[in-house]
Amino acid sequence: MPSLADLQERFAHYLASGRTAPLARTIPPECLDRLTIHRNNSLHAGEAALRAQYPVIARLVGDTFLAAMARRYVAELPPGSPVLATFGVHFPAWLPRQPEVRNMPWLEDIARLEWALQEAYHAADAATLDPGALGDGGVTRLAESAVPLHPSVRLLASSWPVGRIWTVNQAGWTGDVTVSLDEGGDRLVVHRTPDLHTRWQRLGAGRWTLLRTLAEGEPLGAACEAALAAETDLALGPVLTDLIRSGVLCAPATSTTERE
Amino acid sequence: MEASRVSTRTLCPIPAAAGIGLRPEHYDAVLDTPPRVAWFEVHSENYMGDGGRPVRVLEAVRARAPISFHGVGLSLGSVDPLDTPHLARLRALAHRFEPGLVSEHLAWTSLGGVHFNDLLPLPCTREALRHVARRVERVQDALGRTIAVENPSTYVRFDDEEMDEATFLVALARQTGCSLLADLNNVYVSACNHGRDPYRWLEAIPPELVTEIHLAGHTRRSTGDGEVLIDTHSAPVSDAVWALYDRALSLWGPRPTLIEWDRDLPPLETLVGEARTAQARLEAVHAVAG
Repeated sequence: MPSLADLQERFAHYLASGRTAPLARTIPPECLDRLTIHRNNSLHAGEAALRAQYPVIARLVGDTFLAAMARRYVAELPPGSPVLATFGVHFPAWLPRQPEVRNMPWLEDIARLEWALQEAYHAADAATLDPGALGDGGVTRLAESAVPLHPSVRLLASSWPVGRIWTVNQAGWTGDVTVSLDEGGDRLVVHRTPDLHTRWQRLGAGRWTLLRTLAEGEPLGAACEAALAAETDLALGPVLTDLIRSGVLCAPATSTTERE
Repeated sequence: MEASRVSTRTLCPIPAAAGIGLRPEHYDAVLDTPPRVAWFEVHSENYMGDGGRPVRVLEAVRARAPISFHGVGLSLGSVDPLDTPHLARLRALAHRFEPGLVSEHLAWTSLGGVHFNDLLPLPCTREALRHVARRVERVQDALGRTIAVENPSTYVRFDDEEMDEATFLVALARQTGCSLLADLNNVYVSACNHGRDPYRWLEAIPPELVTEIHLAGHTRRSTGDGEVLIDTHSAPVSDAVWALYDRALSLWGPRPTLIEWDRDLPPLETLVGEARTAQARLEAVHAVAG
């Protein structure tokens, strides 16, 4: 019997390589075939995690290719945490480097969108801005305040129509599945709604600028000015109301209008 | 550390009744129509995010039923240094939700900082026992409570093992003060895979060490040298495991019993139905004991 450290080293080597030789003098011959159960479990766990975290990518590349990608991903970037929720964190940056998908340059941004949805699902909770905060001169009072974005908010710009690609690749989508890559890029906000579900919304120039400016820590007044400069006919009141109802904006640190 | 110094804080103890695993696919069903089960068990790792729905659902469930934390990531048997950040996350989670039980597996899941996402087998040797006992003690010190250690399903044996699994687990419990989570499907799967008698395993475990029982389904697969049972948690509890359960209850008395189902999840009602079967068998033992 080798030492425990030596045994685990040999076992890990088997899991990585599939070669049973280093374990042959430690595990009885009639059990050697069964080692594949452990290797399959390990591979399956990675594949299942990627499929759950990147369902649209799985649909776009197909199950067989996703399984092959999962094996390569685990081999090159072995998971360093037992928390599977973090498993796919490097996938959006890793995927476009794979030679087989060089002709699908939009995949990276789809993966970024899917990962943003994952992060939004698990992001910290925070008190959102109360819908009544805008009434009765509230905008004026908030103008000088930095209004933080909710911890779940991710802003994502792509030169591809990622929103459309994502939508037509949802399970249950029955509409037209054609996507014209010429229709241009998307600017999206990904976030968690007050009922804790995740979603994304497409942003025009005004709302994009508003959220980008707030994300930089600028006060609400300055963010509104920047938004109007980017989109002169932006209806600021309804835009702010919608962002508040969506749970995108948080209460300023000193505000007394917080709610759970 | 002496076992007597480990405080067991069970603010909301798990009753000796049937419970089910809480899985994300069933969140809506569990919240809409709370199932009539005595308690719930969750995989601790699934609640280690910063916030959002999983944590909120767990709060809602915890408000009306006892919960148990079942971990798959502490890698108790690994020769790696203990994953202290992970242990700190578990400690924070346990502090927040005050689970009635905290359990982990007699297995290793990582080496060199790499996580394999599978419960890998330990040889039943004195060296492995010393190693696991040290780590269980450190985990219990960090959590300020005892944990339950679960017997895994095993597929391979090692040459020159120095004791059987039941002897290993009993020694671990005696040395550290930890309790045992007896997974009867794992007992059955391992016994069949290694040509042993599962009832001998039950008889080797002193009743006072068992704080929880797991029941689950397995599948059969053909291999080069015959048939192997695989612990898939994707099927109803088999008749053979129900029979083993009856024997365990008569040997140990009633114990908190979990229906575990992780893959190919059925509707919530199916799980609740399995729990009801376990509950009926538990009550039959109560009646005999009473």
